[in-house]
Amino acid sequence: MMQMKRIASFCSVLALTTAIGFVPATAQETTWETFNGDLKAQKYSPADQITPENVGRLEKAWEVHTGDMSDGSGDVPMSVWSATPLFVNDTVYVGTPFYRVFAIEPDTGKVKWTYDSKAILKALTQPDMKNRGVSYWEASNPVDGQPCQKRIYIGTMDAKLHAVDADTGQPCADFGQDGVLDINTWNTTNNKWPLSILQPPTVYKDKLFIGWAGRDWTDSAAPSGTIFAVDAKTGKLEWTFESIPAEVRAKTGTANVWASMSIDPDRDILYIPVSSPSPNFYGGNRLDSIPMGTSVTALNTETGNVIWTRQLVHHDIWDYDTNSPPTLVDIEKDGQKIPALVQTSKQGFLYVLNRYTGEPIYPIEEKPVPASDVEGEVAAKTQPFVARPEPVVKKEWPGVFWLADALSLGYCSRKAKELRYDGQFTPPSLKGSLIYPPTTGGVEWGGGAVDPESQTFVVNHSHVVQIYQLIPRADYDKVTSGGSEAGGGYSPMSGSPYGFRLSNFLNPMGMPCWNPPYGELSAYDLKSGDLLWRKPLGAVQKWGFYMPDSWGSVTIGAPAITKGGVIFIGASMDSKVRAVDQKTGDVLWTAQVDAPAVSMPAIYTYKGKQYVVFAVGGNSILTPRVGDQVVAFSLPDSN
Amino acid sequence: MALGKRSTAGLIALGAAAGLALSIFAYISRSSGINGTAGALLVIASTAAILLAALALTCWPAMRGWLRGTLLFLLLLGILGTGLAAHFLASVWLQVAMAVCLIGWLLAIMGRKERPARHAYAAKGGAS
Repeated sequence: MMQMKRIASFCSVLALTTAIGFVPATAQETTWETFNGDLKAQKYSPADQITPENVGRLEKAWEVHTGDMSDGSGDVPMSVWSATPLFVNDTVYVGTPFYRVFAIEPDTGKVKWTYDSKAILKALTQPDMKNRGVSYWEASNPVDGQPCQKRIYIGTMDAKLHAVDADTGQPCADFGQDGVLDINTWNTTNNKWPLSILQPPTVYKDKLFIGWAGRDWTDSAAPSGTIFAVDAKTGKLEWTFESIPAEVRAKTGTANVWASMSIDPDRDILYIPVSSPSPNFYGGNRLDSIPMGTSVTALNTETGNVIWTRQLVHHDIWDYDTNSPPTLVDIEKDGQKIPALVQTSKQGFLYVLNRYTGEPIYPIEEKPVPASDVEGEVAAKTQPFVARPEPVVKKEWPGVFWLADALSLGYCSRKAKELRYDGQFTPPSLKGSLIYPPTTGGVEWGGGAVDPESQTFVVNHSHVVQIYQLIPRADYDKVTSGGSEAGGGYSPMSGSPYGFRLSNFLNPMGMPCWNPPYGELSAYDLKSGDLLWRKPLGAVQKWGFYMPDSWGSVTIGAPAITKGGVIFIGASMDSKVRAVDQKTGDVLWTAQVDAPAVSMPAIYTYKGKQYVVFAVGGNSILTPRVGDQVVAFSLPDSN
Repeated sequence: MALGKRSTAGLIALGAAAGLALSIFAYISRSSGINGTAGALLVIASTAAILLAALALTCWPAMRGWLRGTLLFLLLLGILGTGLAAHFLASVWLQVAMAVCLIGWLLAIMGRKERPARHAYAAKGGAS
């Protein structure tokens, strides 16, 4: 009886300490080894120490300022930092937008070592200095005393891939040339058009799968969207994959993979999100079939051979790049366990496919879409639509916001009437087309997260309306001759008969002309395809003033889910990070950080304590605010 | 027990000085969420203006009635406007500072209404 009382007493104390937010010392160690947490891009942590009941007590455990940021006022272009920190090898690793690597102690924030790639800090392919982090590899049979048995890889704006020892930060001399592999030497299409390795490679077994980013709004002729598979130890090229048929490559390019990828380790399948072909907003010079443009495609990891491919947008003239890694998860549906993937998209549809066959689990329907009225352009007659799960965007554009219209004395409604709008997939036009969702999405490159146990899929998304205008070449040259090209939202699309102007649909005060909300977080039950909840996420901030929560914020980044039932996310333009209840979508905790945390968080458990880490760097698409902060949060110690 | 002119204006000045310090800190602090913004600059300017006006009332108690009335009216606009700005800047402590200013302002108004009776009492030689 006495023993029973002791057990009951112990349980009460344990329950109490957990409930009030102190750390029980029994948590299992968990890691965050890849950009997406794991190879399946689930962004799921089995850590369960932080729960909806105690998350309110979360506090800052440590922070590091890397010093690598620029507001663009000096010689270095503005920095955009979207790196997911990794936690592996008992170390937090993060790459910076100046292409340095920081190795950090996971519990104290003390910097173990740094590596400087000494990369060129010029915006060669992108308007900003960008980085989405690092990758980690370790030998399956490590040799004691030998360096580089564990490695960190970081790419640069000029497509140099650096390999360094994960324990010391010293270059791995056996990789490429003295630890550096120049990916751009394989760019044989057009050497004046450089590649950038901003997304860290996907690592599987002893291979690195490398995609690239480029200047895809600038030219018609561009390198084809090659995936390079290289030996993780030597950098030797093992195979390549081309997304554009050989006979079309002289007319177009890109259809590259600039986002991260996912892998099914059971079947050795690499899943790649393929972007749109160049030039992005006019397809008259690429009317040939490009079946893998704007697709999700499955490749054999050993050979690079295509297992299946599914095009998500036909003849893409909206820059609807497939921009996020498909999330792999097994779904229990109708009494069966289905190997599935969920592909989010800029166009707002969630494609739930059988990941072994590419066939839809929820129906995809081809529907007629508007024709182009631009000479030379032939828009696709139909596009694939998904009704279930419910798209993250509305069927029609959100409509004119009365407040923005009133404050601009009717500008918004007058402008809306001048523009072409015939529903989703309205083609770009000479007078300007209202595009919803536009190239910003919908869903951006982070994609979604899934709880594989409840099969709940969570994704942040935006409601943005933009104006796409094609400009005949002669007029374009006149308009941009004053050097207003970049500032005015102009893109030359050289080699095509049209230049292009992209602008947000704002009133003269800079206020969105369309109805809020501007960004939301949604949760779906993948077993039924039902929308569980949808809530505005974050807040718009203008001149420092926060707009109402019901307006939400345009979002970039992604959520991470924990077994404890808490979703962690930055992504909003108000420079706050949040914890959200997985069951209800209610915000349970917020913390102010230096800039928008447009990276996805990393979650790990070390020495019995769960940490949530954000890289806080900002993104010029949201706001000019930049940061260099790596910040970790945890529950307070019990004593 | 009414507070004197100096005390009520001093309370406004105290709230404004606290608000000014908070606004300057928010403008320069990286983790304030509003550092370097036009909104933070605006409340620096408005709290500074409130502080100057309150100091004028404190240091110049014999100010002409119409001038004092105008200053008090402008102070109310400044306090309410700054409080509203603080709300949209999500600056709770600045709102608290403006609440202090508002209390000082209300006391100043109440004192202003009581003053004729007190003057009359003093004229009859009742003041000590």
